[in-house]
Amino acid sequence: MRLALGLILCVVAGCASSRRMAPWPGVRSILVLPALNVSSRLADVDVLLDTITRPVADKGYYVFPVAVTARFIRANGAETVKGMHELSVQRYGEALRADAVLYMTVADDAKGIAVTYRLVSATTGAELWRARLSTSIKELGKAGERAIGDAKTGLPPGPYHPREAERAGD
Amino acid sequence: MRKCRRLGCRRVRIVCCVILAAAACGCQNGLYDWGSYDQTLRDISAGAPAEVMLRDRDAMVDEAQEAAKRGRVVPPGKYAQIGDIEAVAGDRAGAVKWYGAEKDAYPESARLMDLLIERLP
Repeated sequence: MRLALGLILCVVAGCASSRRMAPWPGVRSILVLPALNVSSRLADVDVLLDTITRPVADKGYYVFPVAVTARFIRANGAETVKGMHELSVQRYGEALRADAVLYMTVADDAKGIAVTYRLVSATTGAELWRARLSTSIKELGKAGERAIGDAKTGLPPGPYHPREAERAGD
Repeated sequence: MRKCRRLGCRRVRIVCCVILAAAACGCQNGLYDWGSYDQTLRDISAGAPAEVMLRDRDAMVDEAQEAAKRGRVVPPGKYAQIGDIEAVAGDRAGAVKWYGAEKDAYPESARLMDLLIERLP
């Protein structure tokens, strides 16, 4: 009985500790650009963009439709991924009303490859959040979930997160 | 007496398990009905032919209707993706309808959806 109670307390405490405040109230929507690949070991890193929507949306943000947005940007200015990454972040804010842009870059690493995630405010250009994940090529499809979803180092909860919605209603 | 205690213990254990499971669920958040949106994105990246994309669209349309019936929430981007497949296939009315659905569900997308609709041939 005492053990069971202890377990319950642990789980509840675990939940509580991951319940941080949303630090950027102005950030509701995130535009994710296709990943920039500067590694020598991989030809194709599309899987990073294909698997990023779910973890970011589950954290409580509006995620621009990744394939639709990439197609739109290609047709309206930046034809290459490099070009998309080089456009000023404020352009995405002004042209598409994105609150923040998430950049992913893939580079070589001792273990295989490393993915760097950078969330940048599309109004101020300030870096809001950053994570780096070392992974094997085989596990690349799980990188987003691991980097974004992590309770401690991942993205803090946004406005669509159930808890944030609750707070807004209080 | 002993048997009785045991039974009580068992009941407590069951109750604890239920509470633990509920608490664990509380940490998760299955906010959205994702359906085949992921698969559609993989097909686009793989450069799948038009008939595959139209099949993906049909699956996502069915899922969106099912989600509406069951009160489940369609995730960010999924309506817009349906609209985009319509746009690429040359169905202007379909594109306008589904881009509009994204805008209604998620006002954050309004600017992009307006631009997409504006630039339809």
